[in-house]
Amino acid sequence: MTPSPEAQPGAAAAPPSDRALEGLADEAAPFVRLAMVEDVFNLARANSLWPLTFGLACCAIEMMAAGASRYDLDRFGAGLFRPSPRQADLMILAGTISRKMAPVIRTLWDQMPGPKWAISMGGCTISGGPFKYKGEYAISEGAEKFMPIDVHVPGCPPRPEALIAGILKLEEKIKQGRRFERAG
Amino acid sequence: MSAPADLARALDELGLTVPAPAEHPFHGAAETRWVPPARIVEACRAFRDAGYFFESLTCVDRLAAHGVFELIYTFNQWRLPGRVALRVWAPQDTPVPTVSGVFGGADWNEREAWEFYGVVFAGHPNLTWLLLPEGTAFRPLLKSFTAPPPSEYDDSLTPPPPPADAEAAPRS
Repeated sequence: MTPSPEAQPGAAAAPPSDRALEGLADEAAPFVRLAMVEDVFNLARANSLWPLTFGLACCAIEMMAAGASRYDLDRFGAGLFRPSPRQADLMILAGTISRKMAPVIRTLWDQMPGPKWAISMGGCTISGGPFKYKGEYAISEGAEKFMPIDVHVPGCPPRPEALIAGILKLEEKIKQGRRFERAG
Repeated sequence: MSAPADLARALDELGLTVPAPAEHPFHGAAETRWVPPARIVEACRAFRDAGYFFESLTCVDRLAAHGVFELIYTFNQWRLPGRVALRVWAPQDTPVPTVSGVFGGADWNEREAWEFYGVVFAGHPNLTWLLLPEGTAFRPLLKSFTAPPPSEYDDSLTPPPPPADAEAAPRS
């Protein structure tokens, strides 16, 4: 802000009265909205989700389609896929999680800085999906066994619209704020 | 169809003259020969010298009927159509010499055969789990295999406790 020409350096201005402040607020109301800082941050977070470039199986094809021009995740601010977990704040788990891969996913999740969110996309990451049967030995039965998930998007695989609906649901959730602090 | 003359001559010189059923309609091998387990490395060397590359290694569980693993090594080249295969009957308790020194790509195929069937490859540089989690005790593709119940697995990946001097968790 540039100081007005009348303001002299060193001259302490008298604090404005409450009535003057109210008048100022009325005057600025069409242009200025006042809100809690955390709400403003949450608005920014919700509208600029950066997902991790990270596909596990066939659901990733639908995730890529959602990011491409026909479905265009950029309309909702979530189309900027980051190649590093350090730069991402959303993990879209798209595909089958084998027991070999699960510790890797957990490591990636731990490497993402908070605040961060996770969407489990498709039946495999929700519960093991079609791989949950007697005698199965290699597929993890759902991502929620080893990491927290914010939104589940069912389908096999879900269409891009479904993933977009999940991201919009997550945006709603972020904008509502958090009652308690999350650890880690 | 049969193998090109130079390769066939090299295999004949090695004494690998016994033809095995080629099963051309199934995997397209023009010619298949039986190989004793101890001679697989020199047979592979003959293929490499003839300009072939290693294509795949297949393992069949014949333990119940014959007490052996059947290993099928397939080789191919780009000049002519014609895949050639070698068949090995490896007794269950006898290690098979590794061919990863001749064809580097066989390394992972042998690891796969080891983790899913338990075929031991003598001299392999890194015979560890490739597709299954480290420490998997069972051999899932054996016909005698029955999967442990789901309660046997720990999918929770419980992390180790943080060190005592770790900083407080960042606010999120």
